[in-house]
Amino acid sequence: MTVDLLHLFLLSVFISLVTFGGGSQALFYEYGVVGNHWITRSDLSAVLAWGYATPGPAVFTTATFIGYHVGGVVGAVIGTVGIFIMPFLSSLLAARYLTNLLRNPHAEYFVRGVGLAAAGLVAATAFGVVQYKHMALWQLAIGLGSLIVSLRWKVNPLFILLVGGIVGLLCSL
Amino acid sequence: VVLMTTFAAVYFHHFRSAEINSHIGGLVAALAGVILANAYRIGSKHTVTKVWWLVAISAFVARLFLGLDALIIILAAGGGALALSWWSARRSRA
Repeated sequence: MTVDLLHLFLLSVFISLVTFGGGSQALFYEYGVVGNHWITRSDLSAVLAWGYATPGPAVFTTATFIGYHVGGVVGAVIGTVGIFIMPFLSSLLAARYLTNLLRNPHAEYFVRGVGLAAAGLVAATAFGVVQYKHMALWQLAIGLGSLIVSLRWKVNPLFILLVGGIVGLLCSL
Repeated sequence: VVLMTTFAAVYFHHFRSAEINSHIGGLVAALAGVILANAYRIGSKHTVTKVWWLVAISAFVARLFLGLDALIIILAAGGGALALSWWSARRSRA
C-alpha cells in the first residue's frame, strides 16, 4: 500500500504540473482507471458528478477520492496534498519568476499546445467514461442534450446531471 | 477535503454496487455531455485561429482511436507548439 500511496502522490504532483487550465480528468482516467485500476469508470463518473456539485475544482476532489480508495483517510490526505502542493508553490513563485516566464512568446506557444491537447484528451475521456461503443439511443440523446444545454446556457452542471440521472433512471426501469 | 473524504467513505462502503451502476447510465451520459462542453471551453481558451483546433482534434483521435498515452500526447503537442514558435521566430528574423 505504501508503494501505491507514493505512486499516487507522484502521479497527483505530475497531473497538477501538466494540466494547464484543465484536462486533469483525462489524466486521472488514463492513470487511475485504465493504467493502475485504482477505481472503475463508474467510480470516476460518481466522483466527477460530485466534483461538479461541490465548490472548488474537480481535480482536488478526484485526487482525494482516489486517495481514499487506495489508502483510506491517509490516502485521501496524500492525494490532496499531492495535487495541491505544486499549484501552491508555483503561486508563491508566480509573482517573482513565473509571470515573466509565461510572458515569453515561446512559453505561450507551449502552454497553448498543451492546453489544446488537454481539450482533446478531455473529450476522449468523455467518450471513455460513457463507453460509447455500447451506448443506448436514450443515453446518446441525454449526452447530446446535456452538451447542448451546457454550451448554450449557463446552467449549473449539477442540475444537468440531476435531470440526466432521473431521465436515465426512468429509461432503465 | 473533509467533504470529499466523507463522500468517498459513504460511496465505497454503501453505494458501490453493480445494481446501482446499472441505473446510472443517464447520469454518466449527462456527465459525458458536460465533460465535452468543458473540453470545448478549454480548447476555446487556447485557440487563436480555427486551425489550432487541429491540435485538439489530433489529441482526441490519438487517445481514443490510436490509444496513445496521454502524457506522450501532451508532451508532443507542447513540444510541437514550441518548435513552431521557434521556427516562426527564426523565419521572421530572416
